[in-house]
Amino acid sequence: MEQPAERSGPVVAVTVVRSGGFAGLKRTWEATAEDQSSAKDWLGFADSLPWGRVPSQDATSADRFVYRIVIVVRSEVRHEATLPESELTGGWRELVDRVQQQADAPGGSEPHCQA
Amino acid sequence: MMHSIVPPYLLQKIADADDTRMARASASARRALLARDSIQDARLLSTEKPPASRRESDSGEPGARQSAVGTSPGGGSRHSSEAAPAPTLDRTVYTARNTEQLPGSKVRSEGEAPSSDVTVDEAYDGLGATYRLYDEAFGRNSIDGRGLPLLATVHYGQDYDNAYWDGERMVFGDGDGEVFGRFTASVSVIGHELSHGVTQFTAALDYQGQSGALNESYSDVMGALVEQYQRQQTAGEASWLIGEGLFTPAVQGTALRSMIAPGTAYDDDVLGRDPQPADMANYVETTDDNGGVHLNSGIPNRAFALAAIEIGGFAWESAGQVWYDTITGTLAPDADFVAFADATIAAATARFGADSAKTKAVRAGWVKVGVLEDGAAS
Ligand SMILES: [Zn+2]
Repeated sequence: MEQPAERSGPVVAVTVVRSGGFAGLKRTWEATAEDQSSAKDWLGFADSLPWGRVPSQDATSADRFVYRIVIVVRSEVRHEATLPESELTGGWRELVDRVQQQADAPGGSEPHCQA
Repeated sequence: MMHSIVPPYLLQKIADADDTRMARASASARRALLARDSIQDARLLSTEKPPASRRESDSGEPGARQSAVGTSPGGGSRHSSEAAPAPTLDRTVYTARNTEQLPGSKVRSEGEAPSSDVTVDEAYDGLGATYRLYDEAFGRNSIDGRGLPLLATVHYGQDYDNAYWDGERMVFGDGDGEVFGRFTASVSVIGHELSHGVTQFTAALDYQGQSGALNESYSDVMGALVEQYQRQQTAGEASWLIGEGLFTPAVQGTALRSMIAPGTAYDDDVLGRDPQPADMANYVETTDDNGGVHLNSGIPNRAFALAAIEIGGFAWESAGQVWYDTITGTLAPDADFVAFADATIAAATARFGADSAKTKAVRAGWVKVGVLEDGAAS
């Protein structure tokens, strides 16, 4: 059993879930900020993104990935968005790249695929 | 070091989730968040209508204009009152040189000698094999029925684990080398991608939910048939695998999907088990992947494979012809599994007769996977 975290958990958790693609394999990456200064850094960046103002579907393509991004601050969902791969540009791409880099780094959360 | 971030209310949500895949994963905090989102989105989706038609191409090529919903079935090559243009195979392969810039630079045009790059040549040959199936088995001149040039870009992105159809061209990644190798390695993938183009120009099935899964399934059907036609295999001899050989040897699995036995293509320590359902009892409700279009496609895939094997012989001459007639017929863009099944029975009846063994086999396939009820009138 995992312990539901309260004050001991991370300040900020950023989760990226990639679904779809030709293979239809789901994969998840997560980055966490454990202290106030890195939390401020993540949120300063995340809050500047146009949440709620991206199309959730790509009407012209097939087999591209779908990204779901969820940002949790002290166990409360602060932002969430679903983006087709074609919309993953600019700041969105930068956010996902940062999460993947932290998750894939030694000591980061284990990247895992979910069938 | 992992930290749990799951508040109790989220754990409660996941217990309530009716996505069985999610339920199995209920120990994971991240997955709990997802299940919760899936429920919310399912509600949203039920009140929102995705775009009904796809945008028109702005490429300026005369053949690249996409058909609106309701234009002539079959793409016009056999039904047009004008003289149909002679079949023309016109392939161009580009390389993105491991960037994400499309189309990239041209590396092989129609009639040119093989390159020194196996990926380029696999794409070129796969375009030709797909063109041949549509031309020789179904009398269709390219994906639009009017000789549209076939375009592919290979070496897209870095370690890119995917192949896709962007509305105008096929795009192939090289894979990351750990889980996936290059996506051109199986001709079934190339046939699949180009068939998304055929669907775009014909039934234009919405890429969401059941119509999206049918869009996916039609591409798998034709991807498998391109391979079977190339190998001159009967339905009984065929592997019915999609993407055979795409996984690296490190992965415990033979292919990405099995049409005859959905859910059995791989079972790997890291990737988990092939999540495709084989019948309606195991239909997956999710908002990921546009409503599980790559998962629930297993159900119509199996209906097709069962019918083709029951009929016997070359699948493109029987069940394949029926599926082609269906996608080029009067199907609605938001057709669900039952509407599609009924349309295949109508197409089989029109071509082979209501009491033919072929029509009966098509119906039996849909009954077996639980889309139609036994003895149901179509
Ligand atoms: Zn597809």
